[in-house]
Order: sequence, then C-alpha cells, then structure tokens
Amino acid sequence: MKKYLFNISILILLLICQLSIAVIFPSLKLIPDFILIFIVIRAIIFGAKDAMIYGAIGGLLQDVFLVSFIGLFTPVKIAVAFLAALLSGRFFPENLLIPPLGVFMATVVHELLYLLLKENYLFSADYLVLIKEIILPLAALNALITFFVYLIYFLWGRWDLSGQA
Amino acid sequence: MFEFNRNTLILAALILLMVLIIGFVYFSDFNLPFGSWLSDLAYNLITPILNIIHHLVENITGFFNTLFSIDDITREIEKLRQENSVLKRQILFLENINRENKRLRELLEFKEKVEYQMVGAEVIANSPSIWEKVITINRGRSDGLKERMPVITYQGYLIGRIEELGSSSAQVRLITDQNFVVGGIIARTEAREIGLVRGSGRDDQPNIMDNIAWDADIQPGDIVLTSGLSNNFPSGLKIGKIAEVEVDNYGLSQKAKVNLFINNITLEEVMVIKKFDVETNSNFDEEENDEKINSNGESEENDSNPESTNN
Repeated sequence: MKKYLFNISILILLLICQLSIAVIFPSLKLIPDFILIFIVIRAIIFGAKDAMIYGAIGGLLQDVFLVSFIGLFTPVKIAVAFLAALLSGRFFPENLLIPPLGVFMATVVHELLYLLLKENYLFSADYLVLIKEIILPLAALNALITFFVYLIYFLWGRWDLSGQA
Repeated sequence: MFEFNRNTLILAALILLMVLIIGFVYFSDFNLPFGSWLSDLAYNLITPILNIIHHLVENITGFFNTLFSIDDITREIEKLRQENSVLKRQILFLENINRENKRLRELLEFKEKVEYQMVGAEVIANSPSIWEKVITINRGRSDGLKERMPVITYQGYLIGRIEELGSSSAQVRLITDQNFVVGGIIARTEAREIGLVRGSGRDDQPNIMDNIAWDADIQPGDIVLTSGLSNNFPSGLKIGKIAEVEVDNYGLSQKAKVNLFINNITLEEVMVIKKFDVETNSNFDEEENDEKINSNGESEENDSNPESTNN
C-alpha cells in the first residue's frame, strides 16, 4: 500500500510539473510527457502489470485536466504500458540506450493512438506533417529526458549496491 | 523474458475488457456519479498546489527582475507617466464623443449596449497534452463562473471559453483548439462579412475562417471580430487579422487564414466575461472586485476600424 501511495504521489508531482512547465517557460513549443516516461521506465523494469496500473492512474490524472473523468489518455496509457512491457527482461540494465529508445517508440505509438481515437483529428489531420513537426521532436525530447533519468536511476542502483556491500 | 502463456492471454483479455469499458464510458458520454466526484476531488486537490507553485515562481522571477532591471523600471515609469498624461487628454476628448453618441442613440432609439461584467484571473496551468489547447485559471465556481463564459485578455482579444469548473479553478478551452468554433465578422465599414473561425489545433498555425460567401470582399489585413450572432460570445471581441484568402468548396464559398492576436502575447492574466446581455434596462448586481469595460467604446472602435485604416 505504501508503495502505491508513494508512486501515486510521484505521478501527481509529475503531472504538476507537466502542467506548470509551459507557464514557467512560455516559449516552450513542446511539453514533455513526464507521466509517459515514468510509465514506460516502470514497464521496462517491473513488467506489464505494475506499469498498467500506474498507466491507468496517470491517464486518469491527465484526463481530469481535460475532461470530466475518463478520457482518451486512460486507455491509451494502459495500452502503451502493455506494449512497453514487451521489452521487460530482454536487455541488460547496463544498456543505457534501450529505455530512451523504448520511450521514443512509446511516444510515437502514444501520440498516434491518441490522434486515431480523437474524432476531430481522425479524418482532418495531416499525419505526415504532424509526425514530422510534432510527434518525432516530442519523442526525441522524451527520449533525451529518459536517458538522463535512467542514467541517474542506474548509477543510484550501483551506488546503493556498492554501499550495501 | 516475455512469453505468451495462459496468464498472458487472461491479462490481454482483461486489458481488452478494460479498454472496451473505458471506451464505452468515453464515447457514450455516460456519466458515472462516483467518477465525476473522484475527478472533482482530484482536480480541486491539485489546482491549489498549482496556484501555490504559480505564485512562488512569480514572486521569485519578480524579485530577480526588479533586482536586475531597476534602470529599465525607472525609464518605464517615466514613459508610462508621459503616456498617462496623453491618455488623460484623450479621455476628456472621448467623453465628449461618448456624450454625443449617447444623445444620438437616444434620438434614433437605438438599443443601448450594457457594460460587460468581468472578473480577472491568472493562468496557473497549461494543457497536459500537446493536442488539447486548454489552460487552467485560478477562478472557479466560488467566484460565480459558469461553463461557456467567454474569456479575453486585458487588451480585449478573445482567448476561449470556460469548459470545466472546479470550486476555485476553471479550465478554459483556447481559440486555437481544434474543437473551438466561433462566429466571426470582418471589421470594415464597407465589408461586414461573416464566417466561422475554427481552431487549427496548433499555436504556430493560423486559425481558419470558413463559410464565407463566395463574393465576399475580404482582404489580407482585415480585422476579425466576434459576430455575436450566437448567445455564447458578445459581439466585437477581437480575434485576429486575415492573412490569406482562398477559394473553398469549388468556388461556392471562401475561406481565410486568420493570424490570432493572442499568438503574439503570453497568456498570464485573463478576464472572464460573466455577463454581456444586450438589453436596455438590464440591471445586474455590481460586485466590488469586478472590472468593467464599456462595450459602447468597443463597437465604436470596431466601426471605425483604426487597424484596417492603418494597413
């Protein structure tokens, strides 16, 4: 229970960062999806079940700030968490490039799924332009953030292990 | 290693069921009482934190701005004093015109437009998604706000409308959002063409004004205002400037790209129009903190269209 509360607090903190970042830095064109990064990293490290639970909670929190209750982020984040978990256990933790690559792919899938489910974008959007101008830069930004976050997590894990030893 | 076994299939079936239930709730607009209570709770718990963060950041930046730009501030004060004296002179001049306008309206028995009843608010959060153009303001149900109320900047530019309400915060759907549609009118004395202004879904792209008559006289540089033909927005709020006009529907109509005025400014403080009825003898309660502007002044400015003549 303690673990869940701790992780939900982290999700709320990430949501607050996501909501405030454009107010603090108004010139930002892209807003990184911190919740997605958190979910994908959890999916890669801890597997599908864990990530999907937090995917649902993160999606619901994000939806609260767009619609009244359940919106598109809830199912999309659950689906992305499930797909990201396919990478779980398939690489050595020392491989620092896999999590950013996973987040890159997850961002592309996440945004495309969202657009496909959003009725006002579905038929009117120019997908090639949106992929080129929004989705790929956003995926690159998320991947860059993931690289540093995972690096810190990895080094912290190493330091923790050596400290115990 | 990920393996497809019995447990995986059960998990996949559960996910599918969950996605279907969520999809049903989303697409059918089915209202879960517990769900809305829960979302209200989450919303009302998170927005005060956002408010605190906003004030904290504002205080810190304000402190450093003051510290490092005292010379600039002194120059700015001097400039503002000069502007103030010029504006005072203009007010005296406009008061005379206003009196004359009122007298002529009475003579012609024109309906007098009432003042807007407005409340100021600060932007405390942005959209959590790149596809949804929504902001959160620090005024809500407790301040007398209601859904669909128009939101403008201090300069009078239309920003959007209130979509969702919390007890002390509200979500504003911006004019740039893809779901946003508002009736627009060209502010030129000889061309009062109307159309629908739709959000492009992107901040760096112009909005589209469509459903314009095929023979309408619209030129780049024309100012677009809210038409006020629907009951949702008052007439005369500034939207943007026409950038490009092109033929639409195989020549049956025209559409135009509209560069929004709000794209040139940073949204930090906004005003919510609480009341804008066009009635002669409507009497609304005056609240102490509410600010008012006279829509008579707005419409006068629209008719003469100083922006168009400048171009």
